[in-house]
Amino acid sequence: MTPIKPILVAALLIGSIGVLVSIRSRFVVRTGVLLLTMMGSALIIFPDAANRIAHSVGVGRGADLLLYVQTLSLVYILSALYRRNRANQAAIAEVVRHIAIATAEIPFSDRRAKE
Amino acid sequence: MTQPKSNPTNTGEHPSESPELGVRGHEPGSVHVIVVVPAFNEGKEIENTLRGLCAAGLDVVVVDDGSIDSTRDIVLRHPVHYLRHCVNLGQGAALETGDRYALGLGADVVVHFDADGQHPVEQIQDLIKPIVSGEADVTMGSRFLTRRDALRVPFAKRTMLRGARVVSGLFTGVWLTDTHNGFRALGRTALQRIHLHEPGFAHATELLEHIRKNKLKILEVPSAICYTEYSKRKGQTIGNSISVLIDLILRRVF
Repeated sequence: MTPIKPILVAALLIGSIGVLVSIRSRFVVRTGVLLLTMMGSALIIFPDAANRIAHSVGVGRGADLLLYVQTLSLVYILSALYRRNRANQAAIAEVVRHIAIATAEIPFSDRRAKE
Repeated sequence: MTQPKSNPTNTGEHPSESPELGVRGHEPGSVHVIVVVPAFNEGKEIENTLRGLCAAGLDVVVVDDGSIDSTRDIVLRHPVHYLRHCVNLGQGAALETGDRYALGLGADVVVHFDADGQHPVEQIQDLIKPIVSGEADVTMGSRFLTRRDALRVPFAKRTMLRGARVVSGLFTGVWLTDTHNGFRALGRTALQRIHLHEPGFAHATELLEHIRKNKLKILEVPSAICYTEYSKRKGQTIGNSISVLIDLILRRVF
């Protein structure tokens, strides 16, 4: 085993643990992260496996297949983050709106009428 | 503002001929109109806008969308309702806040009115008339119904608005002559059914989608716009319009 392999596997594991600890997400997402970590580690240790998998699906090189998978993952992650961001924005807007209405300053004449 | 439900005041084509808009207060059997003015750093222009609205005896709700200039101080000199977003959310969000607050005050009709003084106060009468008479649930001011009003719009802006009209039409299926006019009125039914989720300028197109989905009656009313140097500067640029378009597409996809 070349010296770079344990370093890469360790870095991948630390990164994955960080993600698993910090995300308060669904079981599916956590399982996905675990599977990707295991696959990534296996490909680091046995790089030829990537080539074999690539050939079996009609891609020339393992590196190309990894690039395709990475790009697709990035698009998926971006869209998930976009959706999450929109939901957060909507929640913030609702809170801000609630505060604005609760703390409205009303004209003196209307205040007297209310009293 | 008070206006008898059974007798909507009739006016000529141009609102400058319209009579007095009415007085504050709402007796039984009258229509309660509230003007919602979204404002973001409008300290320079909002004074004149509010002076005109208050002089006409209208109930006004100003939604300050997180301004960092003197907007609050200026607004509080006038007898209006002042609401403040503690962070800047966008014009669509400010209008939604104003609409909900106005509904809580018992509004029958809400008029959206830009803070930068582009819309003449006298035109409010013409705008709300079809709602009061039951002819429409929503009315939109249009700069392109009369040639005189259309020619007041600078050429570049006119071209951009025509593009926006096509985009809105394709997205919503509602074809109007002027989709991005901030001057519009919504009746109570429309207010109860429409909730704007689009915080920025894309709310104009979202509003049309709600109108179509809820099968609301919509009518365009001629409206002249007074472009000041200030309002031209604050208005939408081509860059902003493209960003609105991207927002609309993303909202459809996700």
